[in-house]
Amino acid sequence: MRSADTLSIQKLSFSWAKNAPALLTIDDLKLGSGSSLFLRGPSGCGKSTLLNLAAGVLEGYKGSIEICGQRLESLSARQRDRLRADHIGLIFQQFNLLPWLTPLENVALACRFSDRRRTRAVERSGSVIEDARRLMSELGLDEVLSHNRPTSALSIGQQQRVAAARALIGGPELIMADEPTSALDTEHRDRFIDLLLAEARECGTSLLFVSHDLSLAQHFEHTLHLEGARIAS
Amino acid sequence: MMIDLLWKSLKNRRGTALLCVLTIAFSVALLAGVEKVRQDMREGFFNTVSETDLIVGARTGQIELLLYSVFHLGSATNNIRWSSYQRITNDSAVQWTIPVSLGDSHKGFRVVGTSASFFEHFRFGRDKSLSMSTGRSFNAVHEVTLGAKVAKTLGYKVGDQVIIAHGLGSTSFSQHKDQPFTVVGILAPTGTPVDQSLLVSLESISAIHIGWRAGVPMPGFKADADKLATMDLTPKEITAFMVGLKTKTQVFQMQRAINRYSKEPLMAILPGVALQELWQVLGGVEKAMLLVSACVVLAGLTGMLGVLLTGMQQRRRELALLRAIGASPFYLLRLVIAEACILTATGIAAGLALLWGTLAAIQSIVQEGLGLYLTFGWPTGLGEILTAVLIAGTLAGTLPAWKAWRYTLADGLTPKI
Ligand SMILES: Nc1ncnc2c1ncn2[C@@H]1O[C@H](COP(=O)(O)OP(=O)(O)OP(=O)(O)O)[C@@H](O)[C@H]1O
Ligand SMILES: [Mg+2]
Repeated sequence: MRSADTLSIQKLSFSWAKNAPALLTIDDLKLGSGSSLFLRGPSGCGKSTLLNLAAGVLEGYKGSIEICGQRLESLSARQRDRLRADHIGLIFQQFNLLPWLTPLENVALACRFSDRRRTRAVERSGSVIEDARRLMSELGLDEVLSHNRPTSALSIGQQQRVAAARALIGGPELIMADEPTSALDTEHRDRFIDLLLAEARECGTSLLFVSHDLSLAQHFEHTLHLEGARIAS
Repeated sequence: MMIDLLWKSLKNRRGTALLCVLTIAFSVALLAGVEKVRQDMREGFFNTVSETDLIVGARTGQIELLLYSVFHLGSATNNIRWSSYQRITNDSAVQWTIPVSLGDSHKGFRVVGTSASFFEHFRFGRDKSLSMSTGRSFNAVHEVTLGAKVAKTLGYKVGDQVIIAHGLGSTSFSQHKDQPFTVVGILAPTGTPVDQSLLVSLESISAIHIGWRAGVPMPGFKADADKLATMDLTPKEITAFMVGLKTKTQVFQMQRAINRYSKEPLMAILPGVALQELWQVLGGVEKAMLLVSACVVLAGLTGMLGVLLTGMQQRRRELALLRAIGASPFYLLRLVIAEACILTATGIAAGLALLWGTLAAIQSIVQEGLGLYLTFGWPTGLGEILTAVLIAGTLAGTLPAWKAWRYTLADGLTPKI
């Protein structure tokens, strides 16, 4: 039985050191299929740590994290890697791309580690590369495509859109973005968020968007304010 | 599916990758080269004389006899009587003998007095016999046949006149000026001391020493051709001789008989045994060479390890990114190890290409200059050595891979710098 929620966190508590007070405590967090959540909090409150936990690369927490109905704590490291490849697209603040691959190859790379996403991309556009091309085009990267720009020549805004295309390819259920716009100016930032939201909506992908910038909250359906444990207690 | 990622990543780091490949290539070329030279030297050495069952000379050490009779190094303290040589040559067990009379030289090259039997029975390498490059073998007094190196170094052609010096050493004062020799032929290269010899008949050796007493010409004596023709030029003594037996099984029996010869103190040695003993004297050098080149390979691998390890820090971000996309730490571990393996394998291939290229370029120079015949053949045991290098290189890759593993686990999605 699969729950309707893409991401569900119950009674989570996590601390980096064994006996330290918990850095993160989340009692109940649910992200429904296709919805968007804005997660904000001051620097150092554990936003990136939460993404690491949800992506299944960090262990040692109490409580339960569920992605697409699968409880991470019941999976092996191997299975969590597979789960991440299949169901989660990630976008970071910067350094999202491998400089020695072309932008197109960077987008297609996500399908390399997931049969599921490869199959979906092929179903959608005939081949992985074609689907990568389609997504890049939809994200306004036609110019990059037509000029065969190398990855190292892209502007930061273009890099972030290539990263978004990679997160979107093969239609994963969840996209988690860790301050993807902090290196962009206001205009580019808003355009990027709109594009990302539009694409996510079209694919039925849920979006977890992390930032400390409160002014972005208006773009999202839900907002969660995360406070550092030290501040909260 | 990993290979193209690896290839593109390496292409991006082509400078350091090339450096890795080159350090390995040079060290492998050196190691394989030393092994090759060692084996070819050994092969050449043990085949300086082949098919010869016994070497007979005056009683002395086994290595001394081998050195002066075969390698023309040093000189005999005593000669042996012609009658003893005759006696053994006519023994029913003996198939052939080659007499050798040493003691004269020409511009630093040894003059070897011998008989037609030398051209007929002398064997070197794998049962190869002597062949002429131009001209013919000597068949009269005052005719000389040159070894390949002699002709090449001194620039002699058939028909040239040669003056032979009494004694050894290139600056000998007493020369047999009154009896010049005519070059009648030049031998093809053999890679043995024959290349550095001037071959004349035993009668020629007798002829040039007529009228000499105690190493100096007697005043007033002049040898002219007419007078020589009437004289008996049968030698009174020779330095040594080689023996080929009818059946190999008689070799020990024959050796014992010669060693017990009653008329004068003779000694017979088995060339194979003597060569083995001499080689053991040189064996330490051989092992030292191998050890040094093994150390060079170790240094090469350590260099690669250094380059890979420093590269890891820079690639930390790359690894975290691949991990975020879904690569398992195990995948990244394999990626880094495969990289070391590929670099080592490429280095080995490049090293071999380098070695064989060099071999092709210097083969004739080495043969002419050093008398060492380098073959293109694959040295025995090199496959095993290279496999060991490949394994060592791959194992060296486990260290940066382990570092990568630790990074990926510690960093998660966000690389720490
Ligand atoms: N690998 C780690 N080991 C120990 N402590 C860590 C580790 N990674 C992060 N921390 C600590 O955990 C806390 C939360 O870090 P995190 O990166 O999640 O903050 P953040 O909310 O993403 O901040 P920012 O908005 O600045 O990105 C910080 O105090 C940080 O020092
Ligand atoms: Mg952060």
